[in-house]
Amino acid sequence: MIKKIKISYLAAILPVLLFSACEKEGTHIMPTIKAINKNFEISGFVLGDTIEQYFDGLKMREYYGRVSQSYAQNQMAFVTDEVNMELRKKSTGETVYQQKFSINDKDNVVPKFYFNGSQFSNQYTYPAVQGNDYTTNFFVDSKGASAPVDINLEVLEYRYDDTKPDPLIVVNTTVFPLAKNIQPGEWTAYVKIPAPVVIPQQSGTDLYPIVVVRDSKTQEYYIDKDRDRSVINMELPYVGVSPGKVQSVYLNRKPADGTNFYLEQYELVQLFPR
Amino acid sequence: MFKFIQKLAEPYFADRIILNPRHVSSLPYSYKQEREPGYSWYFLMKCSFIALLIQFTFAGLLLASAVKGQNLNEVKVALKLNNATVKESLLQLQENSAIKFTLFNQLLAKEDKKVTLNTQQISVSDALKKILSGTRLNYKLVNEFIVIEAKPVPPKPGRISGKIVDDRGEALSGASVRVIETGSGAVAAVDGTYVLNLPPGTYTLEFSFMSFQTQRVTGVVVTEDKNTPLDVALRTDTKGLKEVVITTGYKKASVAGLYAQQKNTSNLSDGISGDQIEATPDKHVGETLKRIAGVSTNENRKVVIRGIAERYNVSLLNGSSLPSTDVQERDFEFNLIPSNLVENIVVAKSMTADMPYSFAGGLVQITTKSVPESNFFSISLGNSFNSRTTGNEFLGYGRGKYDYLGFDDGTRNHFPTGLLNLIGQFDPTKDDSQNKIKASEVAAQNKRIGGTERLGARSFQSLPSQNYQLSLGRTYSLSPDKVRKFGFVGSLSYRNTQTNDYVPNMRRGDWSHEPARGDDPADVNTGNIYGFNTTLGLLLNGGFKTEKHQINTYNLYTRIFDDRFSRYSGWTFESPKNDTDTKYPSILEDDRPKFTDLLQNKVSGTHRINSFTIEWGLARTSLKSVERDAISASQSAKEISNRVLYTYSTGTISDPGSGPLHRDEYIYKENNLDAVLSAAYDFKLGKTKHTFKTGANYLKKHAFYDWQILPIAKGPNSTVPIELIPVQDWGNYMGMEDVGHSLFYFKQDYTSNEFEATSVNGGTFLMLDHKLLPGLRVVWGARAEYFKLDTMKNSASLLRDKNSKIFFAEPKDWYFLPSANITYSPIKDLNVRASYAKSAVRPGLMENSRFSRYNPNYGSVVRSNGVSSTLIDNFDAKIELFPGAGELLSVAYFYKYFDKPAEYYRLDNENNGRGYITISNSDWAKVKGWEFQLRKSLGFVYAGLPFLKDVFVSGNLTLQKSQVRAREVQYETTAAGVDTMYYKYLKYPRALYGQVPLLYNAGIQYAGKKLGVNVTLNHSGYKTFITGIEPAYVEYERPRTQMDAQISYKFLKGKIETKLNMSNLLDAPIRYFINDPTTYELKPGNEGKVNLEWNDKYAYKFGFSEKFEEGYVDPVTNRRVGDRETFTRYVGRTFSLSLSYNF
Repeated sequence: MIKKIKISYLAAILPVLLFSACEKEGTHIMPTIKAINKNFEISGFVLGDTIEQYFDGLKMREYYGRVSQSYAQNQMAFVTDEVNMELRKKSTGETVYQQKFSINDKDNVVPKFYFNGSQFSNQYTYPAVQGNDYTTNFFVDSKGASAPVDINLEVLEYRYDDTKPDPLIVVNTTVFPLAKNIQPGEWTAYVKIPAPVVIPQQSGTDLYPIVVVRDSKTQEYYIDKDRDRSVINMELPYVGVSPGKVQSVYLNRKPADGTNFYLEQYELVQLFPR
Repeated sequence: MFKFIQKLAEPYFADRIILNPRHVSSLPYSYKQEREPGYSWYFLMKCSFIALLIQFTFAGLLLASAVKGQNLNEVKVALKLNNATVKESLLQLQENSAIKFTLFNQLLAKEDKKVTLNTQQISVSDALKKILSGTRLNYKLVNEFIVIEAKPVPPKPGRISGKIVDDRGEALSGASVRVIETGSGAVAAVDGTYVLNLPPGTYTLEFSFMSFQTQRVTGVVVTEDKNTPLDVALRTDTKGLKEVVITTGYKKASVAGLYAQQKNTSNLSDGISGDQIEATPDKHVGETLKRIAGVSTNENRKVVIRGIAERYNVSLLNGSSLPSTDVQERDFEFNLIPSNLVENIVVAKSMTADMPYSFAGGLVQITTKSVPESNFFSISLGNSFNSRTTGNEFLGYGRGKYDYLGFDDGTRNHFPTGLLNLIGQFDPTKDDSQNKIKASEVAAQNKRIGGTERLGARSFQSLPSQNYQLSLGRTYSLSPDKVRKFGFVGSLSYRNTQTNDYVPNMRRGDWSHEPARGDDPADVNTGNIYGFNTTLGLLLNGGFKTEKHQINTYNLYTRIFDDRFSRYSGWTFESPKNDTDTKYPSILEDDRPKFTDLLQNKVSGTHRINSFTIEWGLARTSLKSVERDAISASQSAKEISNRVLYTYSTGTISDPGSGPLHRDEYIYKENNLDAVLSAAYDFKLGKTKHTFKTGANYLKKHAFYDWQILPIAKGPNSTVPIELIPVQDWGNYMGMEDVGHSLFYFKQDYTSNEFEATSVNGGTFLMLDHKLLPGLRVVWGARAEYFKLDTMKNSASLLRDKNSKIFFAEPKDWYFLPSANITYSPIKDLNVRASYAKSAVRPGLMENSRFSRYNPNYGSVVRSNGVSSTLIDNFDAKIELFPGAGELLSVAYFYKYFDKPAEYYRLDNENNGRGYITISNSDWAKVKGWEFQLRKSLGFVYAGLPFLKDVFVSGNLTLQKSQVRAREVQYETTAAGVDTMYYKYLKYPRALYGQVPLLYNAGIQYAGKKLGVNVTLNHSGYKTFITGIEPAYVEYERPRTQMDAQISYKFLKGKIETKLNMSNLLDAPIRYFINDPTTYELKPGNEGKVNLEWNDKYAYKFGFSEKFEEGYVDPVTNRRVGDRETFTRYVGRTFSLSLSYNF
């Protein structure tokens, strides 16, 4: 009987003792950071295909349009002495750029780049200024809409009536077509922007030139059929005043809150100054 | 004739030796039994040899069938044996008689008898008798062989045991039972039990007792080493002194005994006996409780009876109340008590005056075995695997070396005494000359507290759960003819369980209540709750009983180490997700390692002296629960270029609270002293029997709670690079060499951090039990119950509560609680019952404390507003039909009126949209419901399939409805500066806290001799989880269906039993929701009206109701319109395999 008790006791207690020798510390799930470099920079522009940014094989974010850094993204943490960054083309997974950063580097800067959907380059190329001419090209992104668009320089003749809900009363519009039937997804050829010269039709009115996008087929304003939200912010020439200028305008219709849209726009010559 | 010569080279492997006399002389007198090298070769030889031997032996016997035997009396031999072994003697006899012997070496080796026999002439038969006398050997003549063989082993006795009761189910102490065939007998002990030990056979038993008809039971079969249960109900002898003997068959008598106990309790009750528990594969009481009609448990802790929440139910272990193992909620871990040590579990659903503790739902009475019916020793071991835990990542903070043993190794001990309170006395931005407590003192204090090595989430390997148990029972009888039995039952158990519950959705309290954008599936708060539990249990019960007296002692010690590590990630209510600074979720970690010691010692007695029965009990229960190094920590996320950087947050000196990272110690001690005494007097009035019973009870509770909170903080200008320092190394930066740039324990006490209270619960009762007409029983009486709660220390744990008070409004100390039960049996096997009772449920000791604590799984602080007793009027009616043994069909109706029911509320007095959870009294509640129960054998389906008799279908259904008049406490300070409170009563109708309007259990069970199969389905409808004053605060649990299955099989005549338990086979999630304000709208014309109550002001939108509706995302606003899924929890499927061996 005593023997049986001994055997039973040992049978019961041995696994307990066995498990009591099990791991106590475990493996910390948060890695130890060796250093944080606060001089990381990345900038550029992406269109045509999305660029995925990987660090040490871990995808951190995607870039499309202007590449910029937000709050605290100038910091780079080193768990090991080196961080490997890869920029990959989303559609194919192909690595289009790779850079390694060392824990000993003072600055961790990625050279400014332009990716047009197929080629990765360190510069966006554009023609030189021709005299006093204002030239521009446009890129309407097919991500926003696939229908072709027209871009006009329109001069609004308006008067102001603050008794009305919309106090801006447009009495006449003069249109200067800049580009017609623009196919989304392609840069247009450079066109010259004329200096808008318009004589007011009514007294007490003012003139206000805008560059605006319209649907080629319906001629409705491009963004929610709303003139003000379809305006491109770009510089226009004034006769005898302006020196020449080159502009490359990127446009994309993007959803805003609810069912509304807005017009995302970047001027690439400003982003890639010579 | 067959002859065999044993090879001398292989003597050891000979199981049987057949010797030819011609070769006997060549055998050595003795030979060594040594194993030669080359074991496998010998093993093969042995197997071959045995096979050959068996074949040759049987062949030899067949071939020898024609040979005639010799007359052993006629063969004379001379023998010269001096202190010879049996073997040597037989060999000489063989040689001298020339008769062939068949010897079994192993049998001969066991005999140590020495033979001295010197004779010139003795017959072989006489010589054999002399040589073999006093041994365990026998001989027989088979043809010309003398075969020496073992004597047949006498069969082990079997047992008949049971209980002798009267026709109303009451124990007949001193009743006698006699075995007609043997004349032996026994007398029933004070609890009516008897045991008879008999050789296997079929017997007739005669049961008799004064004033009762003698009853003979025929055909009682006793099998070897088995117990034959036989409970017998004797009928009252209404014909005076005339001897009447009723003869009945075993089966009929046994069934009647079972009926009598089921049918004749004075109150409405359901239960499960030890025999029935044995037929189930349950390991602990938590599993067994669910088998009782109308009872369900929440994670084997909280008991819900008839859909009424745990707060209104009382659990007794061996008649003494159980303390809660959780400070802020009422629950007890029933899995501490192994099922095989349980004598019975009875759940009383209506009250009689002699019940010492009041309840509304039910009284769970668990009685463990004290004196076993027979000796036993068993060992069981088991493993279980959980589909969501085993093999998956298991997170937690640093463990101790002895966690698997349930003890702390000292690594959690960071709470020395005499710590300095730094509030207002130390500011790291000031130099020592401006601080009362100097930096060096803070540094020394930091060192005393210790480092942060244990902090920081880490990953462990999750192991399968394991459990081991040793059980021992011994019983001794001091008298062969009288009941003088004592015995004990002991058990030692160990269990380690690891669980990983997945929470895919957390939208409670402080967490964000909805995604910032309705179409963002990633905007969800998720988490895991990791549970590591080690439980050690030691139970030692003993008792002594005679015909008239019984004294038992019950002792239970349990040690529980329970570590709950919750880790949630998501966005908070205050900082919902956006694309800039809260793009990534923050993390909240909460580690609660708790060591609990529970010790219960009890002595109780029953004495029957003539017509008096005296019962008494004295119990002491102590609970010590130490939550040591409980850590709450939060991590904020920051997106940097190459990763999301998570950093543990520190507190600041300007933070008037525990801050985002603190390590705490909570010590709770509760000592209960419990005494009961009652005396009953049986008397007759004419032909009617009556019992007068009176008694008193006393329960004193003393609770002490102490807590220490140690926030980790840094100065406002500190440049400690905590992003770079792992939290487990923070202790290295607490030296205070650079005061402004150190980390330190910011010990802050606003109050004394203590709670101490005592409560006294006393009562006295008078009860009369009338057995009037045949089949009519009336039990009525009243209790006078006293309750007094004294709070000696009641510190607030939060700064904002420092000046608040608890308004404890107990209107009076004494309550008068009448009760009456009527049972009428108009026909055989049918009971009609009705009862009324008034009961009072008292507040718990901690329910009036000012202690508040954040509960990570509620996402809220839980606190108390003070509660008073709840008075309940209980009305019950029930019809029961007992169609067969173990079969039941019943219908019951109940109505309960709760005066000042205590409920868990979510209040938002600070109007921050999140609120907190508190316990508070509502004005009143009414609960009414129906209860249906069925248990039926399938034997009636087809008689040709005998196994159907062992198949039972069972089910119970509870339908109920409740209504509460809620009230909201309002505080006001009078012009004289006196704080007062009053209530604002609300018309919004809702269900009582904890209510389940629909609850059903369905099951099918097969309990064969070897195989047992059990499949159960449990469904619970909508349950009110947390109440509130309007729908936006009321949280419900969604309906849930759980399916469990068990398979058990017994081997080796029942010595080994294996059990496979499969629980939660459907992996049903536990889901909660709130009727979100997006699902209802203002009624027309109510715009701008502020004083209307909810139901006057609002109505549910089309498609929405109080039940759960998922809703949709509004395409215009991109916001979700639908009920808020507040909490979802998956516990996984569990498969456990256990094996037990009974020695």
